[in-house]
Amino acid sequence: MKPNTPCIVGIGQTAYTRWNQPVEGSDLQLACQAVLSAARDAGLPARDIDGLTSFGGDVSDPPMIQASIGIDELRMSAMVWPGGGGGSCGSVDLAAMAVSSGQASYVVAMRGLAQGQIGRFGRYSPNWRHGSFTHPFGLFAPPQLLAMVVRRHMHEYGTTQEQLGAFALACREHAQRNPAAVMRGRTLDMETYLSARIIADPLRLYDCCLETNGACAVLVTTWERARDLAATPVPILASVHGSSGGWAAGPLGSYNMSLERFTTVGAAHLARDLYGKAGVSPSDIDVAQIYDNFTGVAMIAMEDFGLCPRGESGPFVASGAIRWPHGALPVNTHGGNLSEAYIHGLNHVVEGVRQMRGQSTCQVDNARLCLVTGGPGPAPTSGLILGRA
Amino acid sequence: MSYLPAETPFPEPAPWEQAFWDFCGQRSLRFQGCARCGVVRHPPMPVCASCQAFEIEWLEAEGDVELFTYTIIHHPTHPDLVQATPYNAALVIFPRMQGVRLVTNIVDCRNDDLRIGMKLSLVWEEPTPGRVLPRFRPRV
Ligand SMILES: [Zn+2]
Repeated sequence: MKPNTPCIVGIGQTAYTRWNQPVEGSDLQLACQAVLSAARDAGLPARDIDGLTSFGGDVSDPPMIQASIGIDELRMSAMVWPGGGGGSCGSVDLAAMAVSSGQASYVVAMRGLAQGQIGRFGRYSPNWRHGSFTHPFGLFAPPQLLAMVVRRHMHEYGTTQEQLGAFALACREHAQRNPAAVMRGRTLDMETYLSARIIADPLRLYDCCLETNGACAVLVTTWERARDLAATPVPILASVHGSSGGWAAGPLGSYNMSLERFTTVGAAHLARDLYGKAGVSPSDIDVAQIYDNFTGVAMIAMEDFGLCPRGESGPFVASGAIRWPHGALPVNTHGGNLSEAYIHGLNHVVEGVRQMRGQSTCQVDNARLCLVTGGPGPAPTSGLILGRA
Repeated sequence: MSYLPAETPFPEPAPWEQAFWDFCGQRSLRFQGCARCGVVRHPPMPVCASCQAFEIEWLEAEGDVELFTYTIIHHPTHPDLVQATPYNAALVIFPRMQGVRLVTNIVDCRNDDLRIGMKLSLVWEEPTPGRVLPRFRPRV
């Protein structure tokens, strides 16, 4: 490991609750709790944090967090442009760049949201890019917008409703072992999945992520500094964020990606860069945390990141490959956005770290490489490969 | 009578999007084309991504219209559309105008009869006076 290799040295999270449960405090309070708990995990005094990153229009801005938790000297703050949860891994990418370049020493990527207060993402919002071209036709919210892509994928490749269901069931099964998961204790079978109400065909209730309150954070520093801290460092072998040509709002309203790329998440070049930088190939990945806003698009993201061939995510998922403990490539071992909590995929990064520390509640034996991906559909999207020290 | 209620929201278009709706008001379906290289695009954008020119012209839609994909919405997310469910929302393409992606609804067609690739014809609907929307029906 090079001295300036970025490593995650602390993870923190608040309790996760359903969106309609009361939240003590605010988004800011949740974010502060998560940041402080990541610092505590690393054994780093909170005042030594000198960088803060987030993504997707986070409402808890760095100066407020700085003042709240008592950071004396902040050296960098940055956010990956709004694109929903696309930038989840991108916020870690920014932190990694900052510590590797020496711009800052201890950078926290964080995400906090109290959906009951700031509004639910599944509800109507008048502020939507290209809204005059979608709203008059009754197309308002992410499940409706992205259902168009999933329907087209079914048409091109024969993906079935049951195959989408297999993804949802795997996440729910993994969540049963995770004490933090909102859906722990609520099992799901295929019959229930198929008889659930339709949201926007072909997406049914259990194809859609949760809406929750909560926050999480990861603390990034260099390999050199990591040796002086309490936790086992998890190296970030590669990190990327970006988008594909012409994508704009992509499947979230403009649909102006090329027709050839319509049933992708526009991440093929990012995947190529990611594996290239890490010096590994998709078949080397032992476990993956795939941002699951909706089953069908998460499955398409698996194709973009090479976990299965283009168009074959349906049969791949239905084969049981993504189920812990026996599947060849367990996916979303915490339960994902579908069944753990919807912390816009930063909870996927936290779970990736747990896997590399050997501390997941669905621990993959001898896992040495974990792929984590950002929100599929929006631009920019992002990805990480975590390794073992 | 229009496919969706008159109360269906119509957000303020971006400045470079307004002309599309002004033409619709005259029952003319026109897409933004680059005045320099001729590439057509929709939704409208301020610059041509092929040659970076800002000059535009508005070209009458031409050729076949095809259903590229669709969804049937059962959960409307907006209170004014509750009575309208289940309704379809569709993405149609114009094979002779390759950069066009038009979101619309398919009328005079049962949701079960929607088929990707089906050929469509334009219908104008005016849910409220002066607000004219392009919708499509199966071509006969
Ligand atoms: Zn041009």
